[in-house]
Amino acid sequence: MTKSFTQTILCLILLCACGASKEEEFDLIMTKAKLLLTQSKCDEALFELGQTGYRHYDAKYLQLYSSALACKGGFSVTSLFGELADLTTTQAGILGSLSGMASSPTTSSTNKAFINLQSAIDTLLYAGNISTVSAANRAAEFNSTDASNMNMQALYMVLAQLGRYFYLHGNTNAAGKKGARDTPETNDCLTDYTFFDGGAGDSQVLRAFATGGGTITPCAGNADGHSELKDGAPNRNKYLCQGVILFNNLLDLLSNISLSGDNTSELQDLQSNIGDLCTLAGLGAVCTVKTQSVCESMAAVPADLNSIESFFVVVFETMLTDL
Amino acid sequence: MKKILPFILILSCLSSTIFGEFSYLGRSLEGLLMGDAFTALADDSSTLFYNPAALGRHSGVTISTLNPSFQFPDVLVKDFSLDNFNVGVTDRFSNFPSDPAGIANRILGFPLYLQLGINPSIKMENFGIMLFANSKTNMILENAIYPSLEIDYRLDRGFIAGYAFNFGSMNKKGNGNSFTVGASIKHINRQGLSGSFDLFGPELIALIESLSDYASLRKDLGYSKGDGWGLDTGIEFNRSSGSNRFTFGVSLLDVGDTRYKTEEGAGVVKQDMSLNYGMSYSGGDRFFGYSFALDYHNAIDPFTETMSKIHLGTRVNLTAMDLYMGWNAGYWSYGVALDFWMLRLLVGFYGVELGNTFNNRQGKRTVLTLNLLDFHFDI
Repeated sequence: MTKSFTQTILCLILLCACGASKEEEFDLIMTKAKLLLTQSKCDEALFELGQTGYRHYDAKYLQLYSSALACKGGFSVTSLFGELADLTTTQAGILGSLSGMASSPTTSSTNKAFINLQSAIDTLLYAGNISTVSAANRAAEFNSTDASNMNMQALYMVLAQLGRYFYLHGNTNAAGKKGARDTPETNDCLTDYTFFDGGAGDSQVLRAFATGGGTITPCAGNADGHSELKDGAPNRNKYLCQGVILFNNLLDLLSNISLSGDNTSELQDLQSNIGDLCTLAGLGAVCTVKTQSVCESMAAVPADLNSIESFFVVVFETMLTDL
Repeated sequence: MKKILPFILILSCLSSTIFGEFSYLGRSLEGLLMGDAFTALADDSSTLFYNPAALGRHSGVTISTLNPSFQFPDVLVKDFSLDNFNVGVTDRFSNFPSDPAGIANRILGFPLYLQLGINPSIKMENFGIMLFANSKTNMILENAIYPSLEIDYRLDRGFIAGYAFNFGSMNKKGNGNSFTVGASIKHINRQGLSGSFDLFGPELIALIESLSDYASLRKDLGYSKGDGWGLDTGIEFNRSSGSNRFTFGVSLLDVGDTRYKTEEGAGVVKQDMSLNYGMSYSGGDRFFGYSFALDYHNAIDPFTETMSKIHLGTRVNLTAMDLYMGWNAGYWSYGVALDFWMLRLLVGFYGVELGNTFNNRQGKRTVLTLNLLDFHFDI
C-alpha cells in the first residue's frame, strides 16, 4: 500500500513538474507572433509579444515588435520596396519623391497609422533602452549583425514616414510637388517663419535665405505654413521636431548601412551634403539632434527655435522645391 | 500493465519538444498516407523509424534494396466532388512575378518542403538493420511587414540496428498473446543549417553579392556538422486469432535526446526525444486485407495540443493495389500503391501541422516512391 502510494505521488509530482523553460516559452511566443504577422493580424501579434514583457536588449524581439506596430501603421516593406525602385535619390528630389509614394497620403499627425508607424520606428531607434538616439549608441548595446539588421528595418520605415510627413505638411501632389495638392490645405510653405527683423515684415530667416540666393518656391511668405506647423498651433514644436528627428536619423542610418545598387551613391552623399549646408548656414545642434525630447527642449528656447525654422528653410524647403 | 504504467508516466516528463512540426529522423511514406498512425503497424521497411519492438512480429527475411522516398509541396488544387472532378495547379504559382517584392508577396506563408531519401534495409526474423540517407529542407517566408526567411536544412546519414525479444504464449499458428520489448541503436551523421534571415536585410544582400563558392555561402548561413549515437526503445503487446491481430505499442525514440559531437560550425541541432503510443487492428486474407490504426504522438511535449497529437489511419490491401487514408492530427492524407511484379509505385498526399495550435497552419505535401527489387522469403 505504502509502496504503490509512494509511486503514485512520485508520478504526480513528476507530471506536475513537467514544463518548459522560460526561453522555450519565449521562443513559442515569437513563433506565434511571426505567424500572426504573416497573416497581417497586427493586434493579435502585439498581444502575443506583450505576454513576455518588453525586451529592450533582444534584437529579434524588437524587430518583431516593431513589425507589429508597423503593421498597425499600414506599412509593409514589400509594398515599399517596389516604390523605392522608382525613387529619385538626388538631394533635390528625394523628399518630393518620397511624398509622392502610394503609401504617403495621410490626413494628420494624429492619424493612427502615422502614430503607429512612428512608434514602430522609435522601437528600433531607442533599442537597448538608450536615452540619446544614435546608431553609435545602439551599436554599443548590440552585436554588429543585430545592430545592422535593426538599422536596415528602421531605414525602410523612416523613408515611408518621411514620405507621409512631407505629403501632409508639404501639401504635395502625386508627383511630389510642394504646395500643389491644395486639399484639404493650401499652404505653400511647410511652416510659418516667425522671426522678424524689426518692422520689415518679412521673416528674418526667409530674407536671409533669399539674400543668399536660395530658392524655396512656391514658399514666399512668412505665414503660409501647414495648420499643424503654424505659429501658435498646439503641439507645433512637437511636429516641427518630428520632421527634424526623422531626417537626421535618416542621415545617421544611411551613414551606418552599406548600400549597393544604382543611385545609392547619391544617398550615401546626402549626409555630407546636408552637413555642408548646415555649416554654411551656422545652424548648430539642430543638424545633429536625433532624440525627440532633446529637440523639443531646444524648440522651447527662442534662439534654438529660430535655428529649427532655419533648418526647415535651408534643408526642407529647398529639397522640396519645384521638381 | 499496472507496473508498466508508472514507468511510462515517468518517461512522460523527461523531455519535450517545442513548436511547429516535429522533425523525426525518418518516416514511412505508407505511414504518412495513413495519417502517420504507424507506431503499432510499422510493418514495412521503415520499422526502425517507428518502434524496434515491431520487429517481434517479423518472420523470415525481408530485403529492401533502395527504398527511395521523395516529398515535395502539394501545389495541386483538387476537387473530387461527383459533379466537378477537377485537378489543377494552385493560382499562387500562375503568372508568377519576376520582381523581388512580387515574389515575396506570392510565397509569403507558403511552406516549401523538399525531402529526398534512400533507406535500404534488411530484416531477419527479429533483427533489423537499416542504412539511411535523408535530406530535408524546410523554408518559409514569414512576417508580411518585414519578411524573414526561415530555413531548416538537414542531411542525416547513418544506420539503425535493432532487435526485439518476444515473450508470451503465441502458438505456431500465430494465435495467442505476445509481449515484445525492442531496442535499437543508431549512428547519425547530421549536417545542416537552421536560421532566420531578413529578406530585405543586410545579411542576405551581402551574402548574395559576395557569392563566391558554395562552401563559404553555407558557412555564412550557419552550416554545421556532427556525429552522434542514439537509442530507441519500445514495447508491444499483440493478441492474434487467425488472421486478425490487435497490437498496442509504445516507442521511446532518441532516449534522452540524440546529441551530436560538432565537427564543424557552431552546433548541430539535436534530435528530440519522442514518446509515441499506437494501437492497430488488422485482418483479412491475402486477397483482401485491412488495417485500422490510432496513434498518439509526442506524449511528452507540453506545448502541442492534444488534438494535434492524434493520428488515425486505415489501409486496404488488395491483390495488386493498396489504398491508404488517414487523419494526420487534423489534416487528411490519402494515397495508393500499385504493385507490378517487383516494382511498387506509391503516390499520395498528406497534410501536416506546421503551426503551434491545432488546425493552425497546414503544410500540404506530395509523396512519391518507386521501389524496385524488394524481397521477402520465409525461413
